[in-house]
Amino acid sequence: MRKSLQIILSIVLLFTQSCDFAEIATVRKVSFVSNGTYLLPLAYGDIKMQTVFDVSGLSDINFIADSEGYYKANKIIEEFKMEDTLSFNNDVIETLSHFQLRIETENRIPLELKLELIFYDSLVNTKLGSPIDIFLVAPPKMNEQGKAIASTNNVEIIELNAEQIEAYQQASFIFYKIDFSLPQTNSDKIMLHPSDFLTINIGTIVKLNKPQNEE
Amino acid sequence: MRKTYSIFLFIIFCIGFYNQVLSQEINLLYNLRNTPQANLLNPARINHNSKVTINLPFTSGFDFKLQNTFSISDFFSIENQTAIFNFENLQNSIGNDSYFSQTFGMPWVHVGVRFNENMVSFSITEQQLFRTSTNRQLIQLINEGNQAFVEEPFKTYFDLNLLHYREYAAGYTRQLLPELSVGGRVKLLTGIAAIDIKKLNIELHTGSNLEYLRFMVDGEYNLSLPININNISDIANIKPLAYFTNGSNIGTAIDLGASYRPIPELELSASIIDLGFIRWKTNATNITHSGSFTWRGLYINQFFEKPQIINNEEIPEMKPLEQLGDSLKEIFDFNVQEKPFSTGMPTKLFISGEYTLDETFSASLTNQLFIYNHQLTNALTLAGNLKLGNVWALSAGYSIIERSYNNLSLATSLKLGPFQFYAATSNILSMRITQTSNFSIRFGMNFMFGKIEN
Repeated sequence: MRKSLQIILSIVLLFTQSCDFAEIATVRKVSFVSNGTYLLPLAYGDIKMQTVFDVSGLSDINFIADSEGYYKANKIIEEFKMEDTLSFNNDVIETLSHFQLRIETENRIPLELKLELIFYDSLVNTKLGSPIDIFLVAPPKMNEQGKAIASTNNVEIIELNAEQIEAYQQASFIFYKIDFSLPQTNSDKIMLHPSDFLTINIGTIVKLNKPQNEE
Repeated sequence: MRKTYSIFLFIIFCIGFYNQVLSQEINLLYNLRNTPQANLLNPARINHNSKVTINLPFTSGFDFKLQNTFSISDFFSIENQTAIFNFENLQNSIGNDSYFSQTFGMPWVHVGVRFNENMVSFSITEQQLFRTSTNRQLIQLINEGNQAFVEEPFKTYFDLNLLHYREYAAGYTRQLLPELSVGGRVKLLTGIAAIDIKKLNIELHTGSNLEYLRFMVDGEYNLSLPININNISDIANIKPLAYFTNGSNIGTAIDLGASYRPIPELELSASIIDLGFIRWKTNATNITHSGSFTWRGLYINQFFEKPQIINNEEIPEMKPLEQLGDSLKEIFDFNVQEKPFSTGMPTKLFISGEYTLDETFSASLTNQLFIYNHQLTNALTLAGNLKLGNVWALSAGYSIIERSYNNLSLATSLKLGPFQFYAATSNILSMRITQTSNFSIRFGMNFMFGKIEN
């Protein structure tokens, strides 16, 4: 009986020593190392002026188009700003070593749109890193009568390198400002046509952090 | 008692030792003296001088092999209690095509009888094979992401084969001339289970301006399993006895071999093993599907459009995951048919030259080509073969197995009265399983009676 036990123990010992099982049994955490850079489309669409009319209810009221189908609007408000503060969860950004947001637009709607983002640390109320300031939608080419005569293609890229990401990781909230404005034209009117449009493609390129081994 | 204990220790030594080593197919058994196993690799070769050899269930031995195109240590390490999977290292270490294969063989019974210049044999053997392969691009996608595939689309394949079958073999070996022997074996095969992925091609196209991801899949699979794939819930009702005694899937295979001595010291031999097929009928299922979907991101128009109203009901706006789900339906729209299908057998081709220096020692060069499912793998072994009477034999050699160049092979047999123990492997260099890309062990016991005088 004792010899049988010795034999069985010998087998188990030889097997476990040879197969790294003892070391594998100590594992408490699993991590993956890769150089992955991933491209992912986030959103797309095309907004037609006709849709804006329909959704806003302008189609239902007595809003008369001219012989070419243009609707005439007064420049009541030439610029409109929207700003607010959002709390910022930095869990996602912590996993990134590189981030790029690509916003491609083709615009024929008489409108331009700018975006500004500022990252803040709420504890010491200081700005972190440099603000992000981009032209989200560039204005179309306008003529003397206030009509959009050609669409404008615009590609904006927000690129954050490892240094910026590290700075933004300390952020607890984001201040954002969206600036809507009418394009520059000599006319005191803006002419809107139902076929005016805005197409958008938004995609992102992200590179994940390599895991740092804990001591 | 002391002798029994010594035998036990020897077995323990073999088990412990061979658990640590690597191998593809064990070429050394082809040349190992005194053992009847050489006849399984070339039906013309008889490497022993016993009149009768017998293998009995469970004592006759096991043949287990794992083979990979990479070793676990190529991408896996443990540091500070953290298991690290490093796909960068894995991508650098594998070739264009990578595969993983596992085989298991267990003879239920084997009887060989020699008379004059002839030998007849009969055997029943359980065989199981699992093999899967893909190309390097899949590892590249995981490691580098889809940015590496903007200019050229990502294209990969996934291949998988599982075979479980039993072979009933009748063999005959004859020494036609003093310098020429021939042999053959006819096998009746009964298939038990099969999964054959005939093709699974996957493509991923990434728009250079991040405007789309297009995923394309084209698959064709054959299955013969103990359950009908349309009634997966039947899995609880599988009857093991019915599974293991399934005789509806019939196949056949042959082994052929020849051995020639142009001069007494030199033996040239060749064989082809397991050339055949199985026709699968039990729950035979053929599945095909082909489709694609394009992901362009969230469709933002839905936020600007008025909700649709159908039959006085407002249709809720589409959720992104629902959009994705609808697109994926096309890919997983399976076309299922139930028709018998055939699978080829994993075929081995051996070519060997052996030069005998004296009664006790010979040198051999053996090449094995493994052919299965349009794929070839190769193992070349240069070996020295030692024979001390009819009691002990040892073969040791160097093997090049596919792209692996660090394989020292070893095989041995020990005959004590009518009992012979044997064990073989293709590599003793690596002592840790995570360092290996090949792991193989074959060991067992033969009963050998009588003696043929040369």
